[in-house]
Amino acid sequence: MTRRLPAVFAWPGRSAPGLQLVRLLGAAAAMLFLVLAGCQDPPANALGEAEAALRAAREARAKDFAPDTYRQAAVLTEDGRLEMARQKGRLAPLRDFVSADSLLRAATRTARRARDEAVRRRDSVDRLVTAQIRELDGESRELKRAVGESLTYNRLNGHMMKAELHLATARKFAVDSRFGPAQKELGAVRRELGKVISEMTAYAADEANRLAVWRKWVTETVVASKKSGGYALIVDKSAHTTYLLKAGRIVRKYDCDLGFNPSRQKLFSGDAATPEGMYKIVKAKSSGSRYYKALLLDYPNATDNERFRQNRKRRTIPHDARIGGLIEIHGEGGRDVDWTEGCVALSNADMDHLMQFAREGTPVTIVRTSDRWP
Amino acid sequence: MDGCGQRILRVSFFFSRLQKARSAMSTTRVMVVIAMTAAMMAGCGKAPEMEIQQAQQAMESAMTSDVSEYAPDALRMAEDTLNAAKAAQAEQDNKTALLRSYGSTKALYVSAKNLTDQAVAQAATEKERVRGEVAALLTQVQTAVDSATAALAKAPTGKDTKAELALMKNDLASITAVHQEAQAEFEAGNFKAAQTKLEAVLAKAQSLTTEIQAAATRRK
Repeated sequence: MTRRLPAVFAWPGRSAPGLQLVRLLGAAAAMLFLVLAGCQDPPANALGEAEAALRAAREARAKDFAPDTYRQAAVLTEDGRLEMARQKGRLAPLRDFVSADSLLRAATRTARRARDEAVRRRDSVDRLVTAQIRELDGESRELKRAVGESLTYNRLNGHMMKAELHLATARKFAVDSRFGPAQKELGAVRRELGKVISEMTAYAADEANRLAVWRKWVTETVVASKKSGGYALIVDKSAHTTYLLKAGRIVRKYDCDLGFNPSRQKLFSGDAATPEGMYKIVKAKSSGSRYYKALLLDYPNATDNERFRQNRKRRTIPHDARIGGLIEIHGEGGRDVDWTEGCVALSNADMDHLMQFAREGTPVTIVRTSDRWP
Repeated sequence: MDGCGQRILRVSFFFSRLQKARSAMSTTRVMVVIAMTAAMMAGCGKAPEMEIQQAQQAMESAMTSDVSEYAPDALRMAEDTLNAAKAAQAEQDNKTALLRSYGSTKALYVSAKNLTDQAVAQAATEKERVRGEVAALLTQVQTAVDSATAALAKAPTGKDTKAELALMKNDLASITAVHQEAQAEFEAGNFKAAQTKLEAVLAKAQSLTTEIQAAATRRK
């Protein structure tokens, strides 16, 4: 007896037509399933978003202001792109874009974070640099005023000019958002202002050291004038004031202009410093002076000569320097600027007044500053 | 078995032998065709090593120079093309050997190298243009400084003018010092930094010349 397979497993041709159709449809469905099961769309949208986010970060200068986060975003984007490409290379049923999609979404998030970080940091640096510029500008103006009011401005003017130039350059860099170079220029500003402060501090220390000497000279001049009942002159360089004393009391003050290097003791001819010391008038010129009227002093005195000799020996002055002379109190002053080569200049009207009282032999004491009067 | 039956058996045997021979021949043909196809496709299945190396070397070289400063957009385009080439290569690498084709990958690497070379050339041109601009500005500043120096030399000297001249000489010395810093930046190839410095110096130098000339006029 021949065994028969169930009709459904029989070869086609041997079973009913309806069953044939069912079997064909079933096979087709199975094949379709196998084909479609492996198919996924590559995450093209995610790649587009990641690239757009990276571009936005770049435009926000994330490379400069959030370099690590930007680099991370760039690496994630690249990894996502390569992973997507690798999966596209595989047979359709074997493709799996989950990892690529995940990488690209992480890239988008990181790129957006880089952009936000860059915007925050850039604003922060912008505010910081702007504040530093403002602060240094204020400091510079304050110093310029202080220097201008002291006797040191000629010496320190060069530093102030350099500070101004560097500040102007820093401003230009900041406007272009080039904060690194701007801060480098601000560093140069600080160095120049530092030199100014350092020199002014040294100058103040030098003044403090010599103050006792000047006080002594002033006291001696006042006491001598009081004792003799006669006239005397005291020139206070830092106050730009010449005092006329009679019998030890101030009877008149005159504004005066000094040598254009007023902050120093005179050391040699041509150094443009007004000498500091105790002198006498040796000649009164009511006419024939180039500067209206003049009172010639006995500079250099013995102390000046000894100082010059010592400086020459120590070679602290040029070897061919001369001690100089012809230091006068003269007219054509009142310019409110130190312009002479060492003389004390009064206005012509003040010279007219002074010449009524000052004559040959009148003591003239010149000090850098006089803070105490007996 | 009778003769008829034997004849039928012999004929059936003959036809079955013939069918087997025919099948064997078809299989051989198919194998030959497959082998030939494989041999053909093996030629398309190799990554373009030379083009890859050239493109990557060109990009590495461009990255270490100042191309990103002077031709950032062109460099960006070259980078994007190189990334596309790498992606195309990765796609092909992951295919089965018989299905690989690196034609478009090779074209992308070649394009990336060409774009990189173009970016480098563009950067060189732009850098030279900026260099020329800054060199002209340096000359302009030098002229202004020389003009101020000449004006100072001609300014009437005397006790009345010495102080003013001394101050202006100080200013000129400061301007000259910062000018020299800008010159150093220029010689180091930092053209944009030099340019910004020079703009500040030029304004001061021109203003100083005007000051000196005004002072000289007042003293006449």
